[in-house]
Amino acid sequence: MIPLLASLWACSTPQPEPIPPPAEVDLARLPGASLYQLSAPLLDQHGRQVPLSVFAGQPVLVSMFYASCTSACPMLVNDVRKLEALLSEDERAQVRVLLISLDPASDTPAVLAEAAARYGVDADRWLLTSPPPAEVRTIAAALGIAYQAIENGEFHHSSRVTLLDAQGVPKATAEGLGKPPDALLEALRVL
Amino acid sequence: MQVLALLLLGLSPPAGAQERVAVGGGLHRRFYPSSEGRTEVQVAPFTMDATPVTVARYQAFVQAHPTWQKGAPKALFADAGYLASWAGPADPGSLDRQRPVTELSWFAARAYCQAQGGDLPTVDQWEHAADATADAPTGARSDPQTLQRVLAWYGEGPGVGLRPVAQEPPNHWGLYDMVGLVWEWTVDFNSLLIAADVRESGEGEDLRFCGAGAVSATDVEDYASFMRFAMRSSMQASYTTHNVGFRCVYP
Repeated sequence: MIPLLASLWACSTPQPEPIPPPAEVDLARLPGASLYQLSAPLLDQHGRQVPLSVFAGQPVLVSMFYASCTSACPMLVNDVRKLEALLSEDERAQVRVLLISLDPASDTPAVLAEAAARYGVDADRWLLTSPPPAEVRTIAAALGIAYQAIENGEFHHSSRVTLLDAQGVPKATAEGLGKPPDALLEALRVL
Repeated sequence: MQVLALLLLGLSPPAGAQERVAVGGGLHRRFYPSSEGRTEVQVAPFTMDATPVTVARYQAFVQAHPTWQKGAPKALFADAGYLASWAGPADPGSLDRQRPVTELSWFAARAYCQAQGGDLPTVDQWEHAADATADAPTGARSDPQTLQRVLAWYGEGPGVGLRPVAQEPPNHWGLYDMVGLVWEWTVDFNSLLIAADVRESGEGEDLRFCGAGAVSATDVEDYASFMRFAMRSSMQASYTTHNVGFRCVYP
């Protein structure tokens, strides 16, 4: 069943060429706590298949969302952008943002691209992605994100942003919306 | 086949207990409604391990899957307490082989179930299965005597040694030890979050961290259910705890 789902999912990939991670990060020797121990492939808003470790080598702010979410997710995006606004231009150029969908069945590359345009994010540094459906709960569990599908196609989910270092190890988290990003900012500046 | 393998290993299931039992479907009344006005969910019939997974069975699993032996999993998948009481990578040492295996993470428990062709139960499945009394498919949650027994167990606290499985009578479905022995992992333990996808996320946080959300539960008398939900929401997937075990469900 899982291989079948995985192959169906792969069939919808327009360009299945994975983007290799940067050479300076040895994925075979990652720290045990690295999120990149998970090997889930993601589909991004450009229709590319990328590994979860696509931004290895750089600090990454990672969270989960879904494109049709009209309340918490835009606020979460806004919080991350506010955090970015507090960085210098040089600092900001180093940071990447990885948003992973809780709703991969709906969030096709086209839907993700539309959301990226709606949010007005910097497409060079932000990836909006969908994991294989069977991997959603695993990724959420690894990130400490609680979620539940509710009846009308929406999801309850915690708004938790995690800062990963170059190796994918979590360094700081922010939970809840509209809060000062002090912990993330501080951790980001020492990376 | 599995029975044969167990016989070859010199093990046997608990006397009188079936390995897996059928749990009938039904309308399950959720302790925490997922959204306003919806408290009941239809649970489809499923098959479930009759007892929590024992040390003996987990030992057979790690022998076949060295990546889950003591000391092997990466920190993302299990914290340092993983199988802490075991004597060696695949050696439970002096642990009673028929007691429930504990000290394992959600990732480890799930890997075990998936290796058997199953998965961890959902919260709805687990709570539905645990709501059976000795002779009826539902009613345990509203039975004062059952609640007393459950609360007495929760009150024992840590330090009480784990007994072998299936020492108490099973419930209506033939399930042993749904309460009274160990807490159990569920596949969506990280699903409890009320009203946090919306701007009043304060309410969700109260529930997760302060327990104040009990007022939004369907039955405030049912403190035993509340404690289970509080326990689940306090867990992270890599946590290993001496009193948390698991059992699997199968399609």
